[in-house]
Amino acid sequence: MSTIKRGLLVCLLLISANVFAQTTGKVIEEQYIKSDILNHNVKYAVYLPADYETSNRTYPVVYLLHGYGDDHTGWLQFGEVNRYADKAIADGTIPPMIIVMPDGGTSFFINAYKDKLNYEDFFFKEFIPSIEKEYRIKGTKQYRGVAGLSMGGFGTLIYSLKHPDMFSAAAALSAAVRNDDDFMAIPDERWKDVYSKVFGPDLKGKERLNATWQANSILGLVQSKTTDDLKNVRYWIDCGDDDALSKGNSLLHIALTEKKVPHEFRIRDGAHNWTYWRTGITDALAFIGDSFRQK
Amino acid sequence: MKILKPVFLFLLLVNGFNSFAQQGKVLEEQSLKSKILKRNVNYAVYLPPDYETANRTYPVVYLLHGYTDNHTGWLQFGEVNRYADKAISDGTIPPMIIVMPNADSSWYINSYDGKEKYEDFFIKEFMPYIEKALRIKAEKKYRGIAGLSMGGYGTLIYTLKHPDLFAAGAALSAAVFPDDQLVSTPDDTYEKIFAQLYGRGLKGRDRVNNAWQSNSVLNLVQTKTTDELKSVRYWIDCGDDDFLSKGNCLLHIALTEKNVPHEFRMRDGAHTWTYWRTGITNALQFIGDSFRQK
Repeated sequence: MSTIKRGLLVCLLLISANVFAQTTGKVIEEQYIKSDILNHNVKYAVYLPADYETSNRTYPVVYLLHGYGDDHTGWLQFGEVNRYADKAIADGTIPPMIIVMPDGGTSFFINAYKDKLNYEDFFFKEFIPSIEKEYRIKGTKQYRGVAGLSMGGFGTLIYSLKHPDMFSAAAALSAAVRNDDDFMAIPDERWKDVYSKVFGPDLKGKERLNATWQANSILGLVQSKTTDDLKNVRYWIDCGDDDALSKGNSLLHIALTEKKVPHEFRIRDGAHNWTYWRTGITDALAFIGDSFRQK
Repeated sequence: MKILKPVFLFLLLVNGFNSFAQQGKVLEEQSLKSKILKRNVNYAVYLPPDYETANRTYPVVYLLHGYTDNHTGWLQFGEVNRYADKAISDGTIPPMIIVMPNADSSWYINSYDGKEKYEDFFIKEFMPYIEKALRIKAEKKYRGIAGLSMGGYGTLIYTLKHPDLFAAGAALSAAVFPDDQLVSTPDDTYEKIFAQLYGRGLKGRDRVNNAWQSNSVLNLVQTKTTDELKSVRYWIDCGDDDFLSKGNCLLHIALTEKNVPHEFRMRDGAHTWTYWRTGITNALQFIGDSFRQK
């Protein structure tokens, strides 16, 4: 009798071990792609959903952009996005999806002034095609989302506003949105450290509202586009009430509302920190997921 | 011995009813005579569960209704008594008295022509009367004010104009309008709702007169100093699909630029009772943090 009992116990253990083994995705952190446009390798990280290896299907993709000072590992190391994605996929909050995290350096994800660093060109002409060939990704607008925090939120909005044919949904967390006045008012030291390589060195006041800014001002782009252009993408905009960027995000909400563009806007308790982004990423991915699996 | 079992059961039932009776008391059809308004004004009161049995004084929240509601709105639609019962019972808020006056369509202010001086009534007659009629701790520290829509406007107007009276204000979907929104209001809407407050027959920029300026939330924030504004703790909550979300965002921006600490929330929703029912507990909790010292 006890042999059968033991045998049953072993079977039970084996089965339960298998049940628990199907719930985490796979993280590949140190991938890179050669870029002719940027003339150097660009690192990226990938999150593959739990059933990627065992099933034979293609997946929707979210391009997840990091903030200033982080790199392609930020969303994993600080954001723990793999853990949040695992849980959300397991409990059905989001459909299975691939998450790709490129290293954007300090580029703000755009083409710098005088073509000094054409990150946006790299992203659309080299990165997306390469990624969507490398991994089993569906490769159409409907199944492509973009999201990010801070500088990555800026990138998210820039990409979805300028390339609405590419993405069905965008989620911007604490996005670096500023109106012209606040952009001009950035202290010179900060301009030198953060913005000079992207928009131009030694620029003060109105000089900062140059061609690079005009082509990449979120509020300016919303103003100049038609409601139909803008309605092409579903927007999720989330920022903390104590975050200085809540001003720009509020102005963005007002602008989209006045243009009658449906969007989701959230202001929660918090500031510009990882607690805010960790507690916000699941809802952001769920919003994007609603495009992937049709709400 | 056999008698004991049913007796025990009976006692258990009786005590069971008592422990579930942790409800506050609602008095819905109170009224007072107002010399200033020259009529009776109805009001409702929520008294916390231990009001009758304890011998203590309580903090108070003046809870203001929206346009087309009256003193029963927050009870009938807002179910504030139920939310307060639960929150007091689980310790989310300290026991407090909630007073809900009827303000008709006065927008809580003194009309431009002096015909309807609701603000004077509220500050000079209503508050002193209530705070004598009920066992209320009549000082700034224990006085809060909250409201929705027109009542949110009233909340902000009273806290901005009388910061010495209130420790905290919680405005839900407050009717905050930038000047241009008042200017562009269709004439028939302006005449129906706002003319009696700020000036009849006014069109366009004529509407931005003294009566408006002295009762414009955004203008008051602009003209007051940071120290004056910091005197009150602010909770501002509005739905992202609410037509008033623009004004509330502009209010948040204005307070931030003046370095006035405040709590700002924009949740999923619109100008509906669902939004206010799901928001009232956090609003009362915010005010309660003043009452029991966070």
